[in-house]
Amino acid sequence: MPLLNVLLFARARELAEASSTTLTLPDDPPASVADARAELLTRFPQLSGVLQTSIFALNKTYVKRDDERVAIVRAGDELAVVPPISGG
Amino acid sequence: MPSPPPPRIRVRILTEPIDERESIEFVRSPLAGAISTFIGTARNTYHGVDVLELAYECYEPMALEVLDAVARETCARYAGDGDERRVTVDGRGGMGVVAMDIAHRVGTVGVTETSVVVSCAASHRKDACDAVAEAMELLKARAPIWKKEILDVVDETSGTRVGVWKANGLGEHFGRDG
Repeated sequence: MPLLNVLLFARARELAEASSTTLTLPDDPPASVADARAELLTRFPQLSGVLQTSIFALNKTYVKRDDERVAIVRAGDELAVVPPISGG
Repeated sequence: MPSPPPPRIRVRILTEPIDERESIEFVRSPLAGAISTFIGTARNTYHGVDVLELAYECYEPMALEVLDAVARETCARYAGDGDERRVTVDGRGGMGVVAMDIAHRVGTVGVTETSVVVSCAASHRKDACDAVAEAMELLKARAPIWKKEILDVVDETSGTRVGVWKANGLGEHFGRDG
């Protein structure tokens, strides 16, 4: 059962009232970023709006929305919720 | 013909005010005939509403990696061939970009204060100017940094100032084309 560290930023952090959390996901078959997205939504229903416009970064690399089902998460991985960015 | 040295690169996330002059001095080089610097500053208005200050946050370890990649990619794109014997009339060439510095501030940034600085030194001016502009575009499209505008409006329910999270609208990873 991979224990996944999840970081929350900006609007997602505010709505969850947490800057990080951990998710426990099944490992057979191995869980994907898409599974993490679904689990996050169950844990934090208030994120449903912001998650629609967010992508994830897995171990500091962006995961394209279309690749979430094939991006496998492993124990100890760091997953970040990335709402629309606004640096500059 | 000498080949250009690897570019000197520095990227930083800072909670303290950014020293623009120090950024310029960091990229200054005997190989460079031009230094271009972009300074992003906090504006006081949002759709006609007064903005009191900006609040930035970032995913620092990833932001530093992204800024480093942005700098390296931009420097590679504007690298020269090392030939300074040719008379350049187009403001490019020679060693190309020889140094780049990117600094982004996080935390509270007051109106008029600097939120981001990109400095670039190059043999010739157009490479310096274009590299700075391109690095800023890539930063805005890729860096996991978020800006909230704190407005001069009080929410009646909570009694606190209203804040609005911004979106650059050009994030290549967000599937938008703004």
